[in-house]
Amino acid sequence: MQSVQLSSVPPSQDHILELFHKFQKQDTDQNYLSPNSVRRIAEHLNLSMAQVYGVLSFYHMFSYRPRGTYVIRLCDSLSCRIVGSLDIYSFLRKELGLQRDKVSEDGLFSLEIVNCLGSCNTAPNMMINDQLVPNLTVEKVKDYIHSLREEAKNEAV
Amino acid sequence: MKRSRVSISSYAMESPDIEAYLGIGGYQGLKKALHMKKDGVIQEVQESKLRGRGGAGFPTGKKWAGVPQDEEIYLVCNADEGEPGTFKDRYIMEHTPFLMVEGMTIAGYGVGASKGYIYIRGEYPAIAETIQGVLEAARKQNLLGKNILDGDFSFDIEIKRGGGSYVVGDETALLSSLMGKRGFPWMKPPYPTEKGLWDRPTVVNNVETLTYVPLILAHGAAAFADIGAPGSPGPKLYSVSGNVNSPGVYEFPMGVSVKELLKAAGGVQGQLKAVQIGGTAGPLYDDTALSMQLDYDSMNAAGGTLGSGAVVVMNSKTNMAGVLDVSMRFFAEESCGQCFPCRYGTRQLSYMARRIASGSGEQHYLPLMRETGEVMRATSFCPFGQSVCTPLNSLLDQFGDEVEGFIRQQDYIREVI
Repeated sequence: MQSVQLSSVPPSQDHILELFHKFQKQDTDQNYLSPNSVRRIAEHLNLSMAQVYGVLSFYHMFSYRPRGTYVIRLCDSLSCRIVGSLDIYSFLRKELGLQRDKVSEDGLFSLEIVNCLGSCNTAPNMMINDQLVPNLTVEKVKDYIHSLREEAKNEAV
Repeated sequence: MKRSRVSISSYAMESPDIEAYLGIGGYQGLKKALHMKKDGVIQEVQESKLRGRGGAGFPTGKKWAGVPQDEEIYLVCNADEGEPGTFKDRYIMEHTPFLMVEGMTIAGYGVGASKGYIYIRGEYPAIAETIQGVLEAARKQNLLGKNILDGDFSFDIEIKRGGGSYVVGDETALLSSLMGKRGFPWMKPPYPTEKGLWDRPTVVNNVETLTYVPLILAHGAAAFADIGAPGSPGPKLYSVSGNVNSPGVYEFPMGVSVKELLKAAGGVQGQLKAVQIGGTAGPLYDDTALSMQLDYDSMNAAGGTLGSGAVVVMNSKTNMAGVLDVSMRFFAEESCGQCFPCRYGTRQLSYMARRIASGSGEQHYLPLMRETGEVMRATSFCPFGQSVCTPLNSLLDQFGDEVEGFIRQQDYIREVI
């Protein structure tokens, strides 16, 4: 993991979301803002940690609890629901044992339900970290999860 | 898709490139604007009768004309497209981003801003990267930055990424978020045009609104105003999703009928049951929606809203108790929590909808849900909480029998098992 270089970000509060994105991605391998990340952001912006947590907790994409290496954001908006988002949800739940807002036992995945990814013409959709995975089918999700597991295995070696 | 010269889709490219864009008439609008006085640019936009495409439908030229003199004025492009069923701004930013950036530059010139922001929703990381490249390409061609086209006008744009929040799509909440705070909406007046970012005059326009601006300048206000419905003219991007054969973004003159739009989207898959228009806060209709005309005035007259131009199509396989659950959960999860009626009301509504959908509903839930929605309409701080009753009541008015029958069956099942 590479620690975030704060010098490239101006120390004003309007950069706080940018810092959240950076730290969440780079400061840990668990896609979250650790107390240490929050402290560094607070110092950089001259805010209290409470103020930083206050902003952080408002936004769905940021977490102050550890998450999986891969954060799955499954869309369950109306457009995705009526073309089968729940089939994908059931698969993730039953076949992989994933639960909403929980981390899988191997620490690889966490599952979140979101209210629209803005790609309704390719519904059902999900995002895995920063990548949009469109036109979901159970088969496609199965393959995807498999390849991510392989990827993680190779990185561990 | 209709390919009039005055259309966004006629500029669409698979992968945006500034040379190609200049080759098909890109930046003609800005060049014309820079030869005009600022007031002339605003007047041109006023004469085009362009209305804000984010959902409110406020006349864009009028908004610009209301900006007072100040040493610092900001222009904000609202690219926080969070309305479920809406993906037109994604289409623009993926396929015609230069048109949007050109529109922002013209708007900046018109209102006297030297600094612009694009607030892109957090869920669009790839698009934020695309736009970063677009801005760099425009700077290299001297179409953005200091002394644009060697004139006196300087204007630059900074990208801000959101963090996942529906409410931030509201212009005042967006400004709160842009300044690095929780995304709470604030009471208007003062309007952002008077007191916005850091208390300076700030113009907030939707992506689509700004993207039509270069076309108005390049082809003239009359060419734009001649298209579509007289009260809210011009072309419009409609997002069609759900049970249709070819879901996608379709550009039509304002006032196109739902029937014609669905035909363009390849027709309904199966038997049409319901249509939701304008977004999650819009009403649900049965097949009577087909004859409706999709422009601001017609939709308002019909008791609905054009909103973002989202059209979600449901066929006969759709379970309306499920639709109720999705809709109420959305409001509960996206309420900003600032005011009590919305924070608590949405949670109650979502609880009851979930109980119904999961087979543990009670008969008195439906009247109680309507009552809760009514209290929220009367007492919530912002349009978010005030509007929950719209999809709720329309769903219960038209599909209440189905939901009620489902609850009655649950009573019976509870007794026999």
